[in-house]
Amino acid sequence: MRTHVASLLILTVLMVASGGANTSLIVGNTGIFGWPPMSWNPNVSCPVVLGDLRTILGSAYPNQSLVGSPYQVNATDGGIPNKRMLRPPCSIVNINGQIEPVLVQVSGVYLTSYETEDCSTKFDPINNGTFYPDINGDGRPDTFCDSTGNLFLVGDTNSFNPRIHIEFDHDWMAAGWAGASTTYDSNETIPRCPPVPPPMTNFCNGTPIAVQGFVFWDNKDPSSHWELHALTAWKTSS
Amino acid sequence: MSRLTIKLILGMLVIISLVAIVIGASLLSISNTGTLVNVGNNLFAIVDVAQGASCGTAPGYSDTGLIINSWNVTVGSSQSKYACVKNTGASSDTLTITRTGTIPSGVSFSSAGGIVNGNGGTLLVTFTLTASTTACLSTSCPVALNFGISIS
Repeated sequence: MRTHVASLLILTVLMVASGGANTSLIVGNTGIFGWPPMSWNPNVSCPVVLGDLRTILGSAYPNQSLVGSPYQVNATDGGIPNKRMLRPPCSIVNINGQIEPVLVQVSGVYLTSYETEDCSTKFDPINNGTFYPDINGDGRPDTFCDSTGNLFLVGDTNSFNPRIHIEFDHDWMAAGWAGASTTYDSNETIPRCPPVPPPMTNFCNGTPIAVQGFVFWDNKDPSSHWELHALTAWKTSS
Repeated sequence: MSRLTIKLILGMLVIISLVAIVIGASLLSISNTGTLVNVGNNLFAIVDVAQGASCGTAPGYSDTGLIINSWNVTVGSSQSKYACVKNTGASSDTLTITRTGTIPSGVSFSSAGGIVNGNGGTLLVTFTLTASTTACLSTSCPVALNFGISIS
């Protein structure tokens, strides 16, 4: 019995002696991970802000509305003043008087309902209205068309909202700042879902991309909507 | 009972106790090997030190509250952080460094450690996060980093 008591005593002594020893350390780590906040289009020098659909699309999210978006400028307008501007402002003053950068970067999205629209042979009046260059040498100004589509959140394959419209602008392509002649903003190689007949609800499990573009509220269409116009760059890899 | 008798009895009790302690200690030295090993290694660290820091003279070693909160990793790049580890135990230790918790898809963790001598030996260790070029495409970015590193 006494032997056991003594053993317990020694055990206690040893445990106390070794109680301060640390055979392992735990280091906690916090920080941030993402894209470097810089324009991928060398013709665009505006600062890039990280955006997401919930913020851009306003208070009607997952639908979209002008009201409630930080890019609302007044009762009818939002984002940059003109969607075809080759030199849009880097920021706008929103309806609350706050300065809001308008070149945004959105990641975790895929492209579908991709099509060609609004062809032209000359620059928009906002860009001086001159004819496009004759790059193909046929003696006439070349024709450039917008390439448009909708971005959906990766993993969302059965709902039409939330989404945001994008447009490769024909003036930007004519200027050589976007389109097939570029590596950072090609409208030909951008991954997208294959075309499907209307109502185009059969979304694919699209290739994830990240995009940069200027925020614009298009109030000219039958259904007003937010878009990234011009889409200035996209990435699937660096 | 005389005082002499009492003293004899107390003396015998002391002797018996000492014998019991010796026996008990010998038993424990066999059955508590793990505990004894613990005494050999005793680790402390200073985290987020500069690359090439002089760990031998650096102040502020601790075994608690070790946090690196300055990670800022961009897609297609890597970032390294450094820590000084001190071993005040009697034995040298080959450090095992492992990540705990989760990090974003496409981001990998690696480390460089080595042997840290006992009796106050120090070692500069490296932790590195590397992000692939496609690491931030499937999810919305930026995302918060929140993970652990175990050093043993």
